[in-house]
Amino acid sequence: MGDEQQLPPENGIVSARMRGAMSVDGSFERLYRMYAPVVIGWLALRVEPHAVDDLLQDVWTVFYGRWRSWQQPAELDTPEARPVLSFLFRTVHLATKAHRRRRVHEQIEEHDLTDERTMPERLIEGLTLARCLEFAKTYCGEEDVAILTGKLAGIAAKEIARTLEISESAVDHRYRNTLEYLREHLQPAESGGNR
Amino acid sequence: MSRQRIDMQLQHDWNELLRNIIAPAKPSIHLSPATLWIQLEDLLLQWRELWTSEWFAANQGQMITSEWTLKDVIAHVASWAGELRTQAEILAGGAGVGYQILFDEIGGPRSWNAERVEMRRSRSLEELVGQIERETVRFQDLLYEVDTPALSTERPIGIALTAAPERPWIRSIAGLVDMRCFHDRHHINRIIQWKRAELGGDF
Repeated sequence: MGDEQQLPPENGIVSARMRGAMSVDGSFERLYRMYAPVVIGWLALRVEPHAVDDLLQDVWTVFYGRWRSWQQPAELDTPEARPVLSFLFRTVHLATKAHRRRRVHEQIEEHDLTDERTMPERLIEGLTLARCLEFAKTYCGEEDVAILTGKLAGIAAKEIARTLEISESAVDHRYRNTLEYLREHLQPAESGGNR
Repeated sequence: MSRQRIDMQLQHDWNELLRNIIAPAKPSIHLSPATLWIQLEDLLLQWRELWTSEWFAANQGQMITSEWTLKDVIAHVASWAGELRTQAEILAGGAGVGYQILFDEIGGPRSWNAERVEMRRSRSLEELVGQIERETVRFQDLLYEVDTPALSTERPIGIALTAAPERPWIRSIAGLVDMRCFHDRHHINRIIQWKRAELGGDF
């Protein structure tokens, strides 16, 4: 009981689903409610605002397909492991990759997308990225933003490394470099100057 | 600003961002080229994680099933990667598949599998891995070449039970992607289980 309390909240839902105490759809909805804001946050920092909604649906569609046959070995029942969140992180990464691929192949231009913006803009309407995140989104490389936002959401370095196909030490090294970069460039504004 | 303070500020900003997000009540589950592309790309990620492991090439000659070495299993996966992509191309052309691979009720398409692995025996592990990569990319490209409704249009595919060859399985292109993912993941999991049992260590 003591150990169970230390497990991440997703574990309770996964266990209930594995035991048959929750249905596939019921547990999926609980996980969606738990993690949809995180997925939107990741997407908001990684793709153009008008693409967030479509990619959100893609990510949850892929997860739903996987969730129906989800198997979780007991070794992942630890306080650190968040297999569902890690899977969503990986899927967000692949969804952004698919999105960029589509843009390259179809040579979508910005003005072609304005008509599709009703729902997407509503989804992230009013959301303002705070200064640090906005700066990171604008000036850091895509993979560095992925590492940063993965870390912020509590994804283990090992899982980030697997997703980005780099080493675990590279994840930690690049995370520290990004923090250093932000520290250097945000310093003047903190004392009243512009970046 | 110290690095620690930046770290704390970022965490604060991130938490604020999440607090202000209002997600749609339910996601709409839909089929698209992207959702299928992502599933195949995820497979490649999982395979690459195996292929780039130090132990993988070093153990390619080890028997990991009663009949096949690790390299044979990769040859088997390569043969199905090509086969399912070929059948998907036929469905994309608007027709059913005009030939059949027969599945025994127990053991599946034993003779077809054995024949295809044998055909690839002279190829190196690198060539087989390259074939899986190429076939997966070709399958992914195909997904964007057809209209979205065609992805879920079901037609007879080139698989039937040995006991009922007149009744081919009915699948769509999306269904073939599912079959590919299921099949590959089955072998990935078995390879990981073998590795843990025989070589130990984490994966």
